[in-house]
Amino acid sequence: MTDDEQFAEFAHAHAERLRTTAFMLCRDWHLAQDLTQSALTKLFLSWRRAVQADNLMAYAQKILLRVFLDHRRRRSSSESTTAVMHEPAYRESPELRLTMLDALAHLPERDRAIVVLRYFEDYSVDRVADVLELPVSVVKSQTRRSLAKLRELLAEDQLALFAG
Amino acid sequence: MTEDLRALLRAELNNERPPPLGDVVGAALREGRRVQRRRRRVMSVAAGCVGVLVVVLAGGVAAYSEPRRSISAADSVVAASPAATSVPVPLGHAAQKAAASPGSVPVSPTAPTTLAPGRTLAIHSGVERAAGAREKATTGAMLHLLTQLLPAGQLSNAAVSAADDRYVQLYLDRGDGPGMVRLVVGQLPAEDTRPPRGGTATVSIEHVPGNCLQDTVAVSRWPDGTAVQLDVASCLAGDGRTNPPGRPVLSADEAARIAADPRWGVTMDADLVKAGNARFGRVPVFDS
Repeated sequence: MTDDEQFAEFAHAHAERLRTTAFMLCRDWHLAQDLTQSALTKLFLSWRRAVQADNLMAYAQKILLRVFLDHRRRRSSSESTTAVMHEPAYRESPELRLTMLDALAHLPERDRAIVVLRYFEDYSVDRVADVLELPVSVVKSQTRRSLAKLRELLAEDQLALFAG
Repeated sequence: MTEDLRALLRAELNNERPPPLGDVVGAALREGRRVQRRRRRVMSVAAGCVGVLVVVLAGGVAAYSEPRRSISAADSVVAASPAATSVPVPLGHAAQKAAASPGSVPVSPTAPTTLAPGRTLAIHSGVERAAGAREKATTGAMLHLLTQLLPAGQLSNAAVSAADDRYVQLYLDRGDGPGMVRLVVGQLPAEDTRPPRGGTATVSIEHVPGNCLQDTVAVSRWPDGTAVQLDVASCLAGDGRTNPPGRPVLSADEAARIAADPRWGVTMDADLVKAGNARFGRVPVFDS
């Protein structure tokens, strides 16, 4: 099997999962698709190195995370604030429950990535630190802060999930 | 808690209605192959330059009996080959500047040539002093250095590529209207142990007919694989369909001199990176 065929096989098998991770990071399916495609392109270009990795999927996730963070950095650098953002409706109408995905979107990009990797992808703290190239201590402290922020944002009936 | 949180996320994801995945894999393969082709093109140009370098070195030996002198790093030209002539190509003030080169390597001012269709030069770029720390190059640092290297004029439209790392754009108006330059820095893969940077860049200059974004292309390459490509456009940045007219704002020799500056690299001087990030940390993105 050629490198291209190996890559295509891997990509077909994991593209959906990568897109789901990307969606949780950006909350936009179309952008998630673009991020996935960019990540797969970069993976293709580094395929020979990638296949030597211990965990190819983790390697692909790492590329995706970098593509996402890079996209956010570039987008924020080319955007300017044109209007004041209104308070979300759920603050004015408590009956509108904020979903977990909504709450995640309120976290800074890097913190969101930490939560997604830790609690959705079930990565260890060490692996999150490796993927995001952060010190373990930062991952731990940011995880605590992120969970506190999520607690603050989520409705009462969901807070029980954080009781442990 | 972890399980609960994961279950909640999965439940919410199940309520989502994602659009069809589409052919992301095919698109990624096509884009990846396109990038590979481009890299191979740069490498083939670089490989051609290696041959020229051999000739240049041989010429250096032939000229060994001539009195040696140091030539300014940015400006000194070892060889030029426009049309089987051994007359050095003047780059800026090359003849006037005979100050100590950063590389401090005496270079013969003349050398033999080739009959390449474009033009290939071996430019003694000098070796950047390793006095300060080095950091991973940023687009901010690249823009900052580019502004220092470009001739005097009105600069505008600083931007970075949406698609590639270390790929920047600037407009320069020297009084005749704006023109666009784009510069990309990369490192060619090393087959074996990477040799030291070296003090001589091999620079090829080509003109790409029918591509206004690359009216003139100067590609410099150092022995360690560092490669810099400077595109001098005859049009301005487009909207994806058309590009408004512009004018080439650099001569081929000016482009070669800029591309051969020793400060370019995948790592750059830490102070330069710091200053560049402060000055160009937030710039727009260009696509086409």
